[in-house]
Amino acid sequence: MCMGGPPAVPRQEVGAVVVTELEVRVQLLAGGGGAYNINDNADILSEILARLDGRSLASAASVCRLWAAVSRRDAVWEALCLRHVGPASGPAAGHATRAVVAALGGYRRLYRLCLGPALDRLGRAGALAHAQARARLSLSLSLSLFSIDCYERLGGGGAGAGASRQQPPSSLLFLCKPVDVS
Amino acid sequence: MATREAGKKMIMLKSPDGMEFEVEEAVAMESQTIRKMIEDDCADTAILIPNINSKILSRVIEYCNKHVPTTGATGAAASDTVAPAALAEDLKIWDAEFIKVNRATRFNLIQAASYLNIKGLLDLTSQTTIDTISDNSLEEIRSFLSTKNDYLPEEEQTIRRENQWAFQ
Repeated sequence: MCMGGPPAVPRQEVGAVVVTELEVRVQLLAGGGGAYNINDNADILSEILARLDGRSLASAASVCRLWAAVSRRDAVWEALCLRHVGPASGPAAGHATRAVVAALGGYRRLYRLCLGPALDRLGRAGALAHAQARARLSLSLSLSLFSIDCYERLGGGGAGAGASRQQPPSSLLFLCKPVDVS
Repeated sequence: MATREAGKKMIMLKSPDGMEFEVEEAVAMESQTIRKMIEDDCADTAILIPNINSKILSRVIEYCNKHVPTTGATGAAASDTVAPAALAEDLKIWDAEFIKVNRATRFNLIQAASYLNIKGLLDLTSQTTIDTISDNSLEEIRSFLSTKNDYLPEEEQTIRRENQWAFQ
């Protein structure tokens, strides 16, 4: 902001850009077989983005179209959800769990509406809770909230959601079956 | 490279550029993809690993060699005397050294780990990339990973609004 400052700042920025470009070129040369871009393979991108935290994953959609498409994949959000509340070992979510979550709107919705906020609240409450107890608590909490939300959404039907009213009430019966979420 | 010992079954892995790698079966079976081939008896002769050049494949084998469970592998007797925690710490340090590669190699390793289904290697390579992504601004990410912003300005606004909660 001061008069003496500005000339130095842009020069620094230019320098930084040059270094980045040079670095990229050197890496491309070192790569041997030519350029390798992170966007060359959507499946690799999906593997990488699946390891982001929720907020970063949502903001990653702003990078470019491909990132937006990948960050909408439900498998990516499933990996995120399972990392927070899934079993420490053993099989990942079974078909039953996946079917229920899909019917309720998918893992992305699950995270956005329930798991993310629940984790936020737990994080704010302090890190005194044991990791496993915390995981189990957030799971039951978020799933309860999620189910309640879906009941309201489907039952109310007053919000002009034509699509939700088309579903017969009997389709909610699957919620009564025990679901193995552990 | 690979120590031949009596009674150890060896597996031949071939890269598309014609290189052959002889590795212990236990090492090759760190890859769930190869494990399945071996279990299905599809691995009588050499296994061709498509899309993974010899440079990357040798790195992958190096990783598997290090990460194969020590029991039953070479030097089993020696590892009995080492505490598991120290062993895990040693592996961590080794991993950190292993992943000091350029970006192109790292992406190739991710691709290889994904195809060969080696969870540990996939975690290591992807997490390293994530560590470079998080805590950076969008512009930094775009330039760092040399991806282009292909949004129209109004599209970018829409996407941003859609994911507004992430920026709060």
